[in-house]
Amino acid sequence: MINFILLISRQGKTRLKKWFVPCPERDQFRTIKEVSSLILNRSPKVCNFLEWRDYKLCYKRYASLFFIACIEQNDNELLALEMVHHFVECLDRYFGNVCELDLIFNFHKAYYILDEILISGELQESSKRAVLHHISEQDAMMQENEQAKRKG
Amino acid sequence: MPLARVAPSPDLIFQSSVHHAGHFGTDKKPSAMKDDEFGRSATMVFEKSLTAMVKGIRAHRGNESEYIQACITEIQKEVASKNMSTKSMAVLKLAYLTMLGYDMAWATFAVVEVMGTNRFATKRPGYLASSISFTDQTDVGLLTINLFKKDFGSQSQYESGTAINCLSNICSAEISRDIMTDLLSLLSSSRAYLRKKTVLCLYRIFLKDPPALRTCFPKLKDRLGDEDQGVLTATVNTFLELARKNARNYLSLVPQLYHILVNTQNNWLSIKLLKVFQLLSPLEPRLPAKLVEPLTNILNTTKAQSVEFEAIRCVVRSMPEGSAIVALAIEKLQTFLNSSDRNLRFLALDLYKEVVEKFKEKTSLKDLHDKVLTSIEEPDLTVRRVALQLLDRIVDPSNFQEAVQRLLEFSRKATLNDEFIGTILRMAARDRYALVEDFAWYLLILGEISRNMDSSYAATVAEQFVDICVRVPQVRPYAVTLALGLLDTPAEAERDSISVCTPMVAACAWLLGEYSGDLEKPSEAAFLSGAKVLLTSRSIQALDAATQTQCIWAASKLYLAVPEHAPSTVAQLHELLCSQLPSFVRSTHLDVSERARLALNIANFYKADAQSLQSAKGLVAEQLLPVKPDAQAQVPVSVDLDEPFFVIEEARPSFMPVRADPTDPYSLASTYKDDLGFASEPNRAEAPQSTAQGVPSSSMYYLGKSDERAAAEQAQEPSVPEVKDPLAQMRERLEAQRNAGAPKYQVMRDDVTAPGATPTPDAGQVPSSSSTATLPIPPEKELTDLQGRLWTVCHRGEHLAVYVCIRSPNLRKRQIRLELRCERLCAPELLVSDVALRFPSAAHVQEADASGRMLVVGSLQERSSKVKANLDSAPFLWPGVFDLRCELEYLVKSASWKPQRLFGELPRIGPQDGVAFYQTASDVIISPAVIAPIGTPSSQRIPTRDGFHRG
Repeated sequence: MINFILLISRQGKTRLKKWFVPCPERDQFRTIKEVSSLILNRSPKVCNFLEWRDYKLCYKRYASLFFIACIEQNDNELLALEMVHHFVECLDRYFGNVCELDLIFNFHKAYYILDEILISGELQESSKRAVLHHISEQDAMMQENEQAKRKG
Repeated sequence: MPLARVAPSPDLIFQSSVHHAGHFGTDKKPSAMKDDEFGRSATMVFEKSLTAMVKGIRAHRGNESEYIQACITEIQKEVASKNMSTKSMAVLKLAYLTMLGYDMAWATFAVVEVMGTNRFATKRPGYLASSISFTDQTDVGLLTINLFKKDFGSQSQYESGTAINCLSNICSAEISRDIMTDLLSLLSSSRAYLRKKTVLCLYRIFLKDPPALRTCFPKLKDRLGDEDQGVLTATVNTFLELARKNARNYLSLVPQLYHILVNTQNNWLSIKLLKVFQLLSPLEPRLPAKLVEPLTNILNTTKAQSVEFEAIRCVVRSMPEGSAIVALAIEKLQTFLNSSDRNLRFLALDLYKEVVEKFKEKTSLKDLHDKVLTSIEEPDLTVRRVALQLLDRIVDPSNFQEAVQRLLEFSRKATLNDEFIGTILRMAARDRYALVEDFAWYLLILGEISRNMDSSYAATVAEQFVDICVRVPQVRPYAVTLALGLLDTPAEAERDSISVCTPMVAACAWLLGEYSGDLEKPSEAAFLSGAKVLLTSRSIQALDAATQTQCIWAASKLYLAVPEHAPSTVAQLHELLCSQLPSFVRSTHLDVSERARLALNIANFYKADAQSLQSAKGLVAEQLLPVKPDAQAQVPVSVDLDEPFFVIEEARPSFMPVRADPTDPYSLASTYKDDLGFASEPNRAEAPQSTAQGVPSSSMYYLGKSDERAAAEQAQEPSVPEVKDPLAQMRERLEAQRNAGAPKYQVMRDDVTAPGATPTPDAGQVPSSSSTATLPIPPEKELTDLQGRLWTVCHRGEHLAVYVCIRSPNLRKRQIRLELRCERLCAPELLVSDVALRFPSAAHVQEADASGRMLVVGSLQERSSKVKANLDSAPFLWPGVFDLRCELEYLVKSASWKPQRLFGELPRIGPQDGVAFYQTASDVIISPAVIAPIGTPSSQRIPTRDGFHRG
């Protein structure tokens, strides 16, 4: 099970944080600080897993962003990396060659996509096409609402 | 903040975001504008869209917080707005700011309001914000129950889906109880999308509300037959998480899960199933056999590495040793280990730890050993740590030396080398140096490690150095020479400073003093240079007090041992001590000063006279016995102090174990001297010659400054041999020793406890000796029982003896009760009467009369009856030994004598002649020690003080 997902820029800025287990805000920030300093300081030549407290951190760097997933000791690390990659691919397809700026200006979209991929720390949809289909349907619903409101 | 104040038109936003994107090197149209559903409608209603705010923050580098504060003020107004779009946008902006570290707890109510709007467009940001910022503790959580109920019943699956997502994040036990029925109906919804989300969400709910599991279990189990792959995977997932909490409950699902495992092609599902089976197979003995076939199948066919790896892990964890599938799995694991992918190598190493532990896998060890040693070199700390742990487990005596050499090499290269050093020390010390075959070699390694001044293992290195010398008598001659060399190392830059870490200095000093007899003969030069380096190195005086004390005392021990081993240098050593010690006497450390003064007095007393020094041998001849911290409690209660505490056994076997107290180097002193002729072994290389050898003729008065002189002399005299690194010299010597045939070391692996003591369970085997058999030692627990039973003689005079017995202390009343009794010893014709005992005034004896306490009124027959005295225990409230000095008074009559009053002093209560009182934190333990007879006839005298005349 994934405990939390973090997107952190190379400068250490949080671009997305999602805790699947309830965690007080203060602890979240302490964790972000700790985890990001750990991961940003790792050289690119090292492996993508590290042990942290009682958990394992699986991370991968995509361009300027680090995608970090915190999983439990007995979870499969490779699977976690694949999940992260799945998320990145969905983002990429949705935004079309996604860049950090997309996630800054559309942070809520990133959350919506994540919500379609993971729920309570587990993967719910492994098909990219299905994820994008659900997202575009919901986007359409929002548009309809807007238009309905403007007409009315 | 111009941008912040002016509501930007959509065009303006568009242009500026293009600018930003270009700046970051992307030429595509930023998707920020792709469907800015808020931006367009917002321009009239509220001040900033999300895009505008983000842009504003980016434009205010340096004073972001000021800008954000302004934004929050705006948001506070917007949240209060009646317009739900405005409110929704405000909440979304807040969610963004939360990510930057700004609190949004104040807006929780607004978030709930937004969640409750009718339109999906406004509802969705509300749900997003609540799942970001709410926890199960959020107090407005209860307000969401009705919203969830409403949205679960929505026409649109996405409204329900968003609600389930949010529920999984903020669920609490209360919410769960109210919402259960709705969730159960969703579990059998016609839409796979909702079934899947519900199944996964349920696990979170079970965590908060465990009784819910009972109600849901049948329906959840039905989902294992779901035709939708996604729902099926989700259900297996949920059962996996549940099984992690308590696997036994889910054994009944095995047939269904097995069926799915055999039939699925889905990688995600396979991994989850393999995980479930790892948890279940230890609980069901028939399961591993059933799993062999599907696992072999997966191992041979799967293309996904994650599945393959999980299958290997499943085999390692659940299959018995020796089966064919284990061999197959290990073979596959080898390919992972040799993979070019760093991640796979790491995982394989990590799993190998389990393999080595479980299967004692020996076939591939040689290969593995090399692999591990290469992995240790990886720059990746995670990999390195795992590799070191693995190395620790696979190393055996045959490859230990190689492993240590490699680790040492890496540690020289690496910046963070403590892990390597720590591993070396840990491996070597395991099972009392079971892996070390050549101790001389290992001491040399320790010497090298100790060159690293700031290692956090400095103390451990020194401790092992001493420990080995104590346990392995055969290595002592080598060790002492090495210790001298280490102390005498001239560092490159400063010739005068010691270049090993401080704890090692102390260890070397102690060894030099303790085992000076093992120095190579003729040892005159070594004695001189040893004492010289201990006392004259300038850097010694910069070290901590304990180390300085060690050095001073080691030098004194050299001086005391000199007549036996190097008689010609007595005068020189004496001069050296007399000239160098005064500077230590002036030390600001009290310990150092005191010890130096003692040493100086010893030197002044015995002078440079070998004859008189011979008589001083007794000062150090007896080697210190290691004493366990709890040894005092194990000392038998009723020993006579005139008898030796420990029976000294002659000719102990050489493997007689010695106990090491890791904290105190002195406790490592050994009682065992024999070294099986190691010292006389031929073919030994020359001992390293210290620099002092060059200046033996110079006056000892100048030794303090002689280093410069020595350096000058060396410069002038080319004949003086070149100073070599002592470690290098010792290495050569080791080589020579090895060529001559490796010495056989005997290691004392057991600890010794105090003779006669009951062995503690962890103390290992205690050699049985005749003395232990005769002394029944009560364990500490029974000490309280003994109180009150043991009568101790506290006075034995010409005429009578007084016995005392200490009853259990009364802690509440703060009293110690003594019972006293006296017995006549004199011939029957003498009549002893009116025996009285007078306690000191400090003792507050209750029931005492004005002058003293009567023991016997009238004449004393064979033995008096018991008389009780209650002592105020206030003086005994802290641990220690206290005197209780009493006076005894009695009348002696005989036919020929006039009655005379005799009065003697009762013994003090002290360790030698009285009763010792000890107190631990809460309980006063009184251990009656032995009382040597004191009242000799001469001490009896006629009372002269008025107060003692009676009648």
